[in-house]
Amino acid sequence: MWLNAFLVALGIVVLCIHQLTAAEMPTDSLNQKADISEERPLIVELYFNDNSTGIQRCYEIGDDIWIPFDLFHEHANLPEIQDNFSTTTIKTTLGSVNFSTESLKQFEGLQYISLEMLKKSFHAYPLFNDYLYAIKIVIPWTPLYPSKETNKQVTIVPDITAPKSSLSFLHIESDLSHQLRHTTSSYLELEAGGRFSGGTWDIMGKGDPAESLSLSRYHWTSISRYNALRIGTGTSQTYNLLENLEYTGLQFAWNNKGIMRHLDNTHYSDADVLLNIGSTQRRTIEGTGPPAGIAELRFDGYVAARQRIPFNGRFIFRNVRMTTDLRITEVYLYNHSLLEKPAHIIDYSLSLANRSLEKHEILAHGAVGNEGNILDDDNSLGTLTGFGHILYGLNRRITLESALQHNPRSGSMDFLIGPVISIGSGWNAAFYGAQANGRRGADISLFGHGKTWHFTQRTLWHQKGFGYDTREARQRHLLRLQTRPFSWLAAVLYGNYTKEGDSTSSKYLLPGGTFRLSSRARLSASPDNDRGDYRYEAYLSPRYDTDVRLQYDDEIITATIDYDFSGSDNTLQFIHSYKPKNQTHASSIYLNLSPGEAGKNRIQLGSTYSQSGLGFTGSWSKTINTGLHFNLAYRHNIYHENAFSIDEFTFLPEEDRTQQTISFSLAWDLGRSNSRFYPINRTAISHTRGGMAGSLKVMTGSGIPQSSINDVAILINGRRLGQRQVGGNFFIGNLKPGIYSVSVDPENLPLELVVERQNIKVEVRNGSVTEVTIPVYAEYGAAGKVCTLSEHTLAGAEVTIIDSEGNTIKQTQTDQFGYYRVDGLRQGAYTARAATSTPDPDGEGPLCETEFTITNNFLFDVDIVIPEEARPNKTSNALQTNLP
Amino acid sequence: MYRIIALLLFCLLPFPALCKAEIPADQVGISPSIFEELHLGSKPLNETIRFFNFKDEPVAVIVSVHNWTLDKNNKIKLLPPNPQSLDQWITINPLKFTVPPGSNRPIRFSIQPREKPDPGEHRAIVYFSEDPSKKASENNQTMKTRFRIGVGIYAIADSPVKKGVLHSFRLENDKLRADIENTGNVHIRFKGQYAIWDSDAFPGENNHDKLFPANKESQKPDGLLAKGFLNRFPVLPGTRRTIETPLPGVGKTGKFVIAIKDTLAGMPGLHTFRFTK
Repeated sequence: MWLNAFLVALGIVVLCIHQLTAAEMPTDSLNQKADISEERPLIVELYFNDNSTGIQRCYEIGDDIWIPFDLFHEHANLPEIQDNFSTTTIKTTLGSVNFSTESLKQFEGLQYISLEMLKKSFHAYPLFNDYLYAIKIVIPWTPLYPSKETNKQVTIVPDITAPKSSLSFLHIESDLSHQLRHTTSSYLELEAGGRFSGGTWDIMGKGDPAESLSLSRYHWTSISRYNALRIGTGTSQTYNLLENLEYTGLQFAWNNKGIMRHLDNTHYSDADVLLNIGSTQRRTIEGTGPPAGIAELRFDGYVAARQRIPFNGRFIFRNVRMTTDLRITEVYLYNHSLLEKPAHIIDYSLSLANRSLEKHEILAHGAVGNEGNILDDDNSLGTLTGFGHILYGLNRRITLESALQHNPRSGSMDFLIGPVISIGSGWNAAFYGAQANGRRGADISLFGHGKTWHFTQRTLWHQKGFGYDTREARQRHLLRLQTRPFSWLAAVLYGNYTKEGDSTSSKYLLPGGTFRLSSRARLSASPDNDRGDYRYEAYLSPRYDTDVRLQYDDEIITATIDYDFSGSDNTLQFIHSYKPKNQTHASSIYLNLSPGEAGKNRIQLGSTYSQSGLGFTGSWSKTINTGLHFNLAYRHNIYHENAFSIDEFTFLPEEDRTQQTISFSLAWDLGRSNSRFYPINRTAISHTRGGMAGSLKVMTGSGIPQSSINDVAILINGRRLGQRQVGGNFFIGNLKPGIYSVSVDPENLPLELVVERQNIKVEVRNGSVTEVTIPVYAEYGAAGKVCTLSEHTLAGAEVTIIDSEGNTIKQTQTDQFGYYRVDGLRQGAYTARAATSTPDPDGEGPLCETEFTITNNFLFDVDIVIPEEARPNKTSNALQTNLP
Repeated sequence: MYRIIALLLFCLLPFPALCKAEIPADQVGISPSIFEELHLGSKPLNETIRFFNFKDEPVAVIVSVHNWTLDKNNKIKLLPPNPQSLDQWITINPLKFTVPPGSNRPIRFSIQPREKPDPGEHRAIVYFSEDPSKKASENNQTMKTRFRIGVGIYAIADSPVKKGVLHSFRLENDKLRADIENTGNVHIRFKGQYAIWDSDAFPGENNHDKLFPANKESQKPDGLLAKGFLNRFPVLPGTRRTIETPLPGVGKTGKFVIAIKDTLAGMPGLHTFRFTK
């Protein structure tokens, strides 16, 4: 027992001594650490981005690895770095890097840099591949070198400049309608526009040419980066709580972040609208992320844009479209690579109401002039009037709008003020208050949406005499709540309360909805008018080409059957209507045909039968080219195009209801450039947009008709834009001012036609049409073999094509069977010559040649016969074979 | 040392995927890759091949057209032209061109027989070869590579006869071997798909829907070990060839069934083989 106790005590003492010894051995511990800090050679393959530098000697010290600095310097394309421990600043595409050679280590006379230092100083990201035993350094930037070239603004000189002419387009639209045995009515609309004194002008006149033609619109618009100025007719465009003011005078607009996006209408408007305030919103999305990392903009999870984050950590995506739809706008942030999990995801979704502006953006707009159109005969010279209008983005959620406007009717100064608020990703609202003619009014709207619902509410209220003395007091509350809980059901709640003066014209809160029974059948019911009367509809598509609709609306039951045949452009439509109230019936049948090339010709034939008798209609519409369309129509006893009306026209005299009418309408748009006119689409030319028109011109002598060139794609900056190209003529509009690279995709060109010149730089100006003529040439080819009279062919023989003037046009070699082909030969006489080592007996040139003439076809069997003893030229590396 | 290895292993994790995704865009492509059953008539046939350059440098290309057949090893063998060979009826434009980086170029060709075509099939191949004289930055490359891509053209004259005989179809050394003789005058293909099942889970020959499920690879039903398509090599008229389809490994031992749903010259067939590993 004592022995056991002794052994235990001994063990405890030994353990304690061991612990004490361990605690008192700092020197050994340090020695161990010193061992770790010693360099150990590491033989690995070293990559910089995707380029291998081969097997390299690196070193590991502690947790870090050191690689040859010279290799990094070379592959990162760094400038000279002073080796005196002073700090060198290197400019890169992501920002500046500061670096000192002090942090380098020397091993065996060479400088090395650690991976940790590469990450810290150079934002270069190292990866190790154990399988390859390789280190890969991802360098996400390239250095910027100061040079004279980069400081200079690169100026692209266009090959074709925009025209200087002041007239850019003409638009003619006319309608002539003649009632047999009765009157003739006509309508004419003339419009012209172009450029003048740095701006664009537009004049439109319309009316009955037999009576009077008045100028309905005329203005000149000048645009700079922040400002727009317009002289002529215009409208106020303030929030619609105030009446729209029409005037003739001077109008200006200014935006501190650039006026162009508020001017640029991609869709043509023939009104006097200058600004585009309520359009789709565009925003700048910015934030911070990991320096040298990646910021990825996604819409509903789909990648829209990507950028490397500069060293300062700020990323910016400009011109991001923001809407009130359900789209989720997010930025994914990655530390180094897209293959990592994103470090952060930031949600930028915001429900933006129309008329809201970016943070600190100001849009100022105003005008002064005479009321109305001073050149319109119907208007006497109006009073002096004007308005001022400001929108200001208080922050990214709130925009303030205010306007002060002279009221020509009352002579008062009306004003309006209110905010537009983006409450979050699902809600936005607007609260406007106004005073007009000394009376008050308000407009409040609220819009919300979620994944399965939409909510809209609007309240309009004003006092009696608001705007003008005789106006009744009015309040109107509209509500619409739509939900789609299941894919087959859309339920809607409609609310309407309208009170005008002392009478209530609408007061209901009613449900509606659509049941989708299948992809081919649905039922719907919804309140349709101010009284809240329901409109019911049943839809059935028994076949892919047949639609059937049964509808009850306004006490009329209507059945419609549509049948598509020979493509969807040809339809047969049958309509039958029944009014139970007076038990009357009406039936119509229409046949719509589109013969020939799709969309160029449309023919409609129709017949109706009702209590008022039998009616007929027939029309022919034709699109001759981009700018020229006409329609010829005949009608007898028909007043309604698509559904024969039952009793709506009974107030007309019998002779009018049975009238026969022939009408002809024409629309013709012509663009003018360099004193020539081209068919264009006038709506694609505006004060912010221009276009180009021209032709692919088959050069003379080819014998190929111009009409053979159809549907050849004209590429603008490499992309095919909407265009119709017929007979070589083309027009491309809606182009922002600038210089475009124009090319031709030859896919649909006839085989022999080639475009000699591609990537033509064409200048486009707003309000003008640039003429572009692209010559195309007919080029053919020749093929044959090089052989002896006994049909021994010569492989690898050099063949030269020489034109009639002795110039070498083409050179090629025969293939392994002694055959050759050449292309690019225009009409003319040529000589095909084979080079052999056989001397020419006369010393005047080789005998091995064949003459041929290209007219309008590719030639085969242009064989070059060589003497039996001929051998290939030494340089041709030829082989001789026998035909099997 | 262990910490370094651990660090390196940690760094290694994203590397293979990165290498895979960041393969340099050093490629070219064509579309379409084949023209089959172009019908020769009195009017010229006009078609287009589009050549794509995915490289970051321009590529210069030479186009050539040849007559061809397949040798006994199913390799393409170029033949000298003859008056009935399709290459002598093809005009093509252009024969030389350069495609800018990241761009594409259409190459138009037209087929117009210069004499009355014999009944049956007429073949040509259009080769797109990198122009060796214009190879860019060749000096910087340690390995010199040039591409050559072929587009097969099969044109048919009147009275085509598509007929073939499957002399044998067997499973040998993890390969399906089909011995096919073309007895018609146009090429035929042994087309189809196979599915390898665990013997116990085999749904039966008549249960087609379960036998060849349309599920994605990640949603394979239990017991289905692998599926794929038969080698679609053509068998040219008047030839007899063996078409081999290598099978993937099943990764375990046991009893298995391979089912093949195929067609030869329009005739459908179903074959099964049982094997043990």
